[in-house]
Amino acid sequence: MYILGVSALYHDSAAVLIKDGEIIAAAQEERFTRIKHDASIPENAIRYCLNEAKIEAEDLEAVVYYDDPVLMLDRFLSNLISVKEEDVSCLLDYSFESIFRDKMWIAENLKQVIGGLGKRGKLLVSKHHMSHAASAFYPSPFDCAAIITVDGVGEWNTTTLGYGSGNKITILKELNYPHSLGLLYSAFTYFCGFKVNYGDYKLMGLAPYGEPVYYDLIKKELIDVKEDGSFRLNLEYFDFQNGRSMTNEKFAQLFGGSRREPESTITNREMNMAASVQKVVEEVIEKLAITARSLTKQCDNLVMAGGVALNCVANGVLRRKNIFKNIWIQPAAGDAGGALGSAMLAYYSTYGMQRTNNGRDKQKGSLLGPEYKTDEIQTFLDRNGYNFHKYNTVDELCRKLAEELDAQKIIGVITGRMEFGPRALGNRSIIADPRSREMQAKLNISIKHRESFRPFAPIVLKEALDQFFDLEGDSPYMLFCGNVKNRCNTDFNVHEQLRENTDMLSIINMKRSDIPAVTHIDYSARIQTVTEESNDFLYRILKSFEERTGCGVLVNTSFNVRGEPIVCSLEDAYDCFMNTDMDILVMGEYLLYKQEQEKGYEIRRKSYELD
Amino acid sequence: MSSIDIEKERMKEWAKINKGDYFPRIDTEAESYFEDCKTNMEITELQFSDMKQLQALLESGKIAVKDKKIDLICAVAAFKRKQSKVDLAGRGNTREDKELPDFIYQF
Repeated sequence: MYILGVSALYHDSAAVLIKDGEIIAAAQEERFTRIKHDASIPENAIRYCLNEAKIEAEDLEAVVYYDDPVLMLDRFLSNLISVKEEDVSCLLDYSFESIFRDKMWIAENLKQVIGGLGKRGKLLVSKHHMSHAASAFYPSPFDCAAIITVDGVGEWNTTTLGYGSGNKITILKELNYPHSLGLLYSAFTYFCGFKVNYGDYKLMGLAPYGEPVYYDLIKKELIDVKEDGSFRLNLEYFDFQNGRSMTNEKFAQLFGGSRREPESTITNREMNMAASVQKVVEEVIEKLAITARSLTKQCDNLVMAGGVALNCVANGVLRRKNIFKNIWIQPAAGDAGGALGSAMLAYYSTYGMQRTNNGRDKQKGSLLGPEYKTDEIQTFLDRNGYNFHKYNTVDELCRKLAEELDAQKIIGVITGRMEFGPRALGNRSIIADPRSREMQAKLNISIKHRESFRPFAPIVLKEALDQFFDLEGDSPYMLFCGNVKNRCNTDFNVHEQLRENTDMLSIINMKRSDIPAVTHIDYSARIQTVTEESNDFLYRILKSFEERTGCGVLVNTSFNVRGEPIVCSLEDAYDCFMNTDMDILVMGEYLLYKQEQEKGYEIRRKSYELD
Repeated sequence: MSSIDIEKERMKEWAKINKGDYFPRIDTEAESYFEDCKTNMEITELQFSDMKQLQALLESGKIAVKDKKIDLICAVAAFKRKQSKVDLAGRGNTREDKELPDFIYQF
């Protein structure tokens, strides 16, 4: 039984195909259209999913959309009559077309794109947070689990607590729009000069530079948090409900002046605001988890999804609290994962199929997208006349890569199936030596063209985790932060440094550990553990690097430049390789050196709008 | 005045007539803001493909969480948009159409 799940028209459109409950293919539309967070109907992703399974639209049992347009309309209209009369026009200007042209006609529009709605003939719709809950529970390795979903808003819901057991999910508690932790975080993202819908992870990366001096102010003025983790926002400080922007003048006054202009200097105020709202989010998540635990006493497991579940710092804090013995978070926790959840929900709920569990998750390492076979890569290279080296064995290639990494070369890797979700997990990644003090700045400025304050994540051999990081268990999807061990310069205090030194780059370049390129300013790191089972090729590169250097850790960052979606195709990868100071490109078993490429290559797209 | 502007004006009037406040405020006395889940969380079939079906659905009260808000005017607006929309291939193809706003959360 094939079921197609679709998310579209909000953030990160995606399509997911499951067969008898197994994920066959999953991809985000942005990877094909090269438009970051593309929200349009995922025509390309749908086509990819059907092609991957070699099926036609009529072979689908059902098509499921991840959000209920009628409930969304209900929330929109409630919003419309709740705002001041002078704000109605603004709200209508912002939403009218997208609601009445696109969202209400999702069934018609999908039918045209897919060529039908499967054997069922009518579109199935799942509730937005139920899609998130399903994406968290069904692929998890647990028979039963407490479920927490937290995001900006989906229809009415912004937060839910629930319970999954066998093939059934029950939502127990909910919080509704406009009271939203995701919208609170987005408000701070906006006010600190980053783009809403794009920059939340930047705010998270900025937080360790600051001190939570506004924590009490936020709790006093902006959000009332109850002991059980439920909360409400003080709407006097926000403008999103009016369709204008995230915050208003009163918000600006509270923080001593207007919003930071995008791309202008980041000051202590923004750093402190980031630290403060991060602390609030961590507190709310912890309280929600305690409440979820009390509602589901017999269960040691927690699963999470929704955009806020991508806050790996909060996830790391939650893990250290040991409220639940086990935590599993959907790697595509944002709206893209809603496509997966809605398809699985239909399979288990609508069609009543039994769910079996072997104690391992069913996400397949989240490597669920397109891949290129060796002959396709060879044809691509030959057709374009690119110079390359081919290695006879994978071990030989990996030893060569280890040697080049040790020589401080920066390597782009495109191999195997593309990742589903926002993180590059090794198949569409840029890797580098983490022991280098200059590597973070070099990667940020010369390769990624992004802000210098932003940290890089480590990939680590699972067996070497304890040697380098203070994190128990594993983290295969880069969704938990832990602390770096083997610190040097233990007197280093970023806040003191920032008080004495305005040159952030010089502070970033101060060596703080044996692996400085992946040691954030507070000694934290967003960790991805690697095993032979999770990613054999990546494991072998790490192993070769460890054999050569004694270090089983590498830098892993997504294969893209700032503003660009992660590369999908061979063409995307080669273009990005030639557009940056990357030294080497690995395409499957093939290795390309920048210095051996023809000088006259015309880059297809040199720049992307900054995110 | 374009057809869209006319419908927006009608909707503004509708909003004025139906003025209400569906945003609960902070209540320092309350112990919790959680609500028990009231929504039917089952998957459903989307039941409309023309104005008549949509209107019937909206007026049935079966799908509204809060009453007296979903109204004929929405059905009309939606149906007109459906009628006036160009085919899928003709829209959403420019970068501008596909980009998310960067000043406000997309909801």
